[in-house]
Amino acid sequence: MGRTVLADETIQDYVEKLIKNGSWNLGLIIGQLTAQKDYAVRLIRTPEPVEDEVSEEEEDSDATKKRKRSDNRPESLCDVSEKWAATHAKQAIRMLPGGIDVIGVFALAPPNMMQASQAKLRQIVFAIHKTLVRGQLVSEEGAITDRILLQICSTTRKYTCRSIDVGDAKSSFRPADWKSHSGGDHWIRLQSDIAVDLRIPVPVRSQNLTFLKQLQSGVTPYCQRLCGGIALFNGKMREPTETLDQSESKGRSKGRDKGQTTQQVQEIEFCMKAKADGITETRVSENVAKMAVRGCIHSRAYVYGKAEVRDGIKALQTDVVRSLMARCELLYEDVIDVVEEESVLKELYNTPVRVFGKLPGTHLDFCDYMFPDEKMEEVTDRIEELLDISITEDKLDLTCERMATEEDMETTEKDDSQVNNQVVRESNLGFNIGTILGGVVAAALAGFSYYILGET
Amino acid sequence: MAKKVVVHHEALSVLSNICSSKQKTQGCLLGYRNSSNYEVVACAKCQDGWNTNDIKQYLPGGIYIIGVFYSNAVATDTSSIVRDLGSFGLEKILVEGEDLVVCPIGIECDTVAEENFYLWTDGQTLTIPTVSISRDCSLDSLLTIRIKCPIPLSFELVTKADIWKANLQKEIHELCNASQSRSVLYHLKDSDILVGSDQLCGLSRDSSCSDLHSHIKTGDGFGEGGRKSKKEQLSTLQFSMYHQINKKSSFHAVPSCCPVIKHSLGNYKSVEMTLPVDAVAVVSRDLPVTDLHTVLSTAVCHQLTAMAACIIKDTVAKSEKFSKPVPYHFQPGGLQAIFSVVYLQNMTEEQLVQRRTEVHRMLGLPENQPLFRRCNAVMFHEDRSSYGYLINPHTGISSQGVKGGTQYLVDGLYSYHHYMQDRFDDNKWGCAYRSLQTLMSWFKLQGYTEKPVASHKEVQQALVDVGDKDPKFVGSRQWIGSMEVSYCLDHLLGVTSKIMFVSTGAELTTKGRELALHFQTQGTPIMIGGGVLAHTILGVDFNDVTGDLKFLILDPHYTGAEDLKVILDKGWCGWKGPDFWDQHAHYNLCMPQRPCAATLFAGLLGLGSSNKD
Repeated sequence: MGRTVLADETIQDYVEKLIKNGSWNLGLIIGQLTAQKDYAVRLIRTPEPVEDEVSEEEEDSDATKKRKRSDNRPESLCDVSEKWAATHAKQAIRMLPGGIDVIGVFALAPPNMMQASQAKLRQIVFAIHKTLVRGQLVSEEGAITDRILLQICSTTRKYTCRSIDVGDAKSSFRPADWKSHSGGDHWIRLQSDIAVDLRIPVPVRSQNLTFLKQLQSGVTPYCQRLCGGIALFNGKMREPTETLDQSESKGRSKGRDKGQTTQQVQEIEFCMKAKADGITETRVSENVAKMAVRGCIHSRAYVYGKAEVRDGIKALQTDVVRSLMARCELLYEDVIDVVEEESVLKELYNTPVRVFGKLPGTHLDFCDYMFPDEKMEEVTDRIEELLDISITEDKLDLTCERMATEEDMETTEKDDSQVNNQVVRESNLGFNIGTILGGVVAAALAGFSYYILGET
Repeated sequence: MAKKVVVHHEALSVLSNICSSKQKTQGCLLGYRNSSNYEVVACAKCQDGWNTNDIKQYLPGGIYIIGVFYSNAVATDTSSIVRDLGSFGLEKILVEGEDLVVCPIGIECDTVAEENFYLWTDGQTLTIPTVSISRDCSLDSLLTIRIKCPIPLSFELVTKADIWKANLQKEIHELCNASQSRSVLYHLKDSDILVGSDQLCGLSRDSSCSDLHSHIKTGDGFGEGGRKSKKEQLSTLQFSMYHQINKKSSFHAVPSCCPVIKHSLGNYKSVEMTLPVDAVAVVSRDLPVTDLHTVLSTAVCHQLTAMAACIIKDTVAKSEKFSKPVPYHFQPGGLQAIFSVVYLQNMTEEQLVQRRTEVHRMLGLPENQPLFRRCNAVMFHEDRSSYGYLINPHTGISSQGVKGGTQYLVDGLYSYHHYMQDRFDDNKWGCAYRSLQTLMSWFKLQGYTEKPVASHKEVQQALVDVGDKDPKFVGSRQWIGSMEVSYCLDHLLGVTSKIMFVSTGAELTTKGRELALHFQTQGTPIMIGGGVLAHTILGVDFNDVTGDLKFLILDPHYTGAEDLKVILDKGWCGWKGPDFWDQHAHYNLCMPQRPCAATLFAGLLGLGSSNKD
């Protein structure tokens, strides 16, 4: 039996809007895959590719950029770069809470173009998967590897839905069922506030790795510990296979009819072992630097109403991992910027704060990360660019996390310095500037740097 | 109401030994305390100044310093005892709300008895308690808990002026604090139970530790408690340690803002290792679960401290060769207590002689017996089930031996070796080899040797090497007898054996007293060969008056799987009467002698043998 995708009713309106605005479109399907049914909550069209080198060099006037953008738009769906689509998926997924994923790709085109793009669409679906898997810090065992391809004919408005197993390079498309429904109220939110306290030594052998890789060497084991840990609901462990929402049975009929059930929020407490499983050798390590990561993060995930306890735990774990990784990557891109501008390495870094907003027409959130030196406008622009959502500042929830103050920075500075006052400061740099600069060039050439994209 | 003092027989003999040495001494009494008793199970000598930290690092959770002993001129003069105690400065040892058991040892006396024990209350009043001597196996009635939690350790290595030691201690101190904090939860394996200092998951607060087993989910979906009646020994309660990482419960004072990254550049060396924390606690069944967190975290903390001490003591920092400290648990000399000793992984038993001697002396245990070698470590329930061979199958026998008889049994542990094991088909010819393997396993499990139990081929080679057999014997399927078994023990392990000869099986009925003596003094399993069959004798049940005799037999002819129930039900291990023996065949018994050389400490058996390969 093929997959059944339950599509949120707002999707149809979005498709209509897209059809009005252009001849063809490509984008991501956002939602949740489960063993029984799949839920598509939103489509996000992929923004036009931008050529950074040009826009970097030239004057930053809006007019220039607009022109560039339209210039870069490929003539046809089959000319789209799958790398570009994958980059969009990578950036979009950072902005999704746990449990909500890029579950597939949609394409909107007239019949001829669609016909000519079949191989391309397949490439895109696989490229997205490859990119997203590469970015995972913790491999997800037993994850569903089917992805959805939704093709919409812009002339007949016919929906054709198929699925393909991206875990198998040889697999072919299978028919799937796309059904519109209104189910926005049946999501359960899980959330957790976590205190992160990591100390990461940077050994000599990692000296030439990028700042990001060095940071990840400490974050990855932390994420593994988290995923191998215990989750408590109201201070209790729960049976992994029982239904997450135990209240449902009582008010089932009512909730269905009216759709006015209040959103359920489950607070989760995570517990983890002191060390991830696996053997470690005893050694004397020569280090060139050390990093300390300290602070609190807010984690949030959504699962569909019928999910089991283990699905909920997994979704929230995924969110923590995704969020930590996003922060590292964003910081790294920010660091590149600093190096470029000042050629000086800071000793203390602020990571961006996580802000939340509602996906229109749903109870689900998306998120973004905002650096202290960023303007609100930059955030809303980025949301529009990457998620195709127009949102005003007052609709963003900025209260979940607190930006570090001078005071916080000072305590962090102090806390760690007492451990290590023997160290000579002006010795080698912890990571190679050459590598970072090299990274900038590479990113510029590829033209898909998040930072730069965010600026357009 | 004043608590009673129970002194264990073994602890009393240790005290008596210390007493008879006539040396000025002092130390701590170790044991359990519950609402009605102080149970003295061991003692440990300590230096002037009553620094008990050295002792504490050996103690598992649930065993406490519950008293002191010291030598004085007169053991019964209460006013002088009060004076002595006052001058000792025992504040460090006194626990609020608990009395201290005091045992003055008279210099003039040779033994310690009930009347040597007093209770010292509130640091001022000396009373004479009710004292009883116990021979019970207290450990069996207590619950054994094991806390396994690998903990990463990282500290900065500055070899100059031993700064690394301070760094290490600081780091360990921090780990100790963390393990005792309220953010740590101990999770009972295969259950939903988490034990915290002020929170308890999956269990009501008025539960006691005896309820824990019923919450363990076994493969068949039933709690272990449901089958308790069938099982003689309850399995170890296995806990692991978890840290709560939520903002409000996290131990570390993390700023509440979103993460700040501090990047400090500069070259430095650090030592990176994972401490294989494996702490033990023994608690009474009625201990409230609300008290459990303290017991568990104390055990972890003692072990972390022991590990730090071990690293500091045995590491040559200049060489920058660090080794992992590994804990071992021992139940030495029949004491009803467990002690944990930490050894560096890279140190050989020879290198640890001095370390072990210290422990022997501290606990007043004989130095001519291996008690704290790695291979002496206690085999817990879960270790036994994963050992591969059955350990001491006879302990599961419920049937009786002789009416009115006394049982004299093998001392310590052995493993059951029989036909078809090790994927080796020796059916119909290898029984004596298997019996020899059981004998060798005893020496290995008792810590007399580190050599693995020899295979058939190794046994045959040994017999060729000593000149007993031709080279073509190796790889053959020829039988061996009691004499060959004794040659092998001698050649492979350096163990000598007595050979007992009986001309008929019927004559064995007259050997009750002699065999009983063997088990009393040597305690080794005996190989017996006669006709075409070889067996292992694990003990005798002997009635002194009637002369009735039964033999505890371990039969190597069993060809099935390691299924204890089958083995016991079908009598592959069980009590046999005199008719078990072929009444007309003659028998040879190989009775290995327990090594008791004073030089034993210097080396292991079998290592110094001429065999070079």
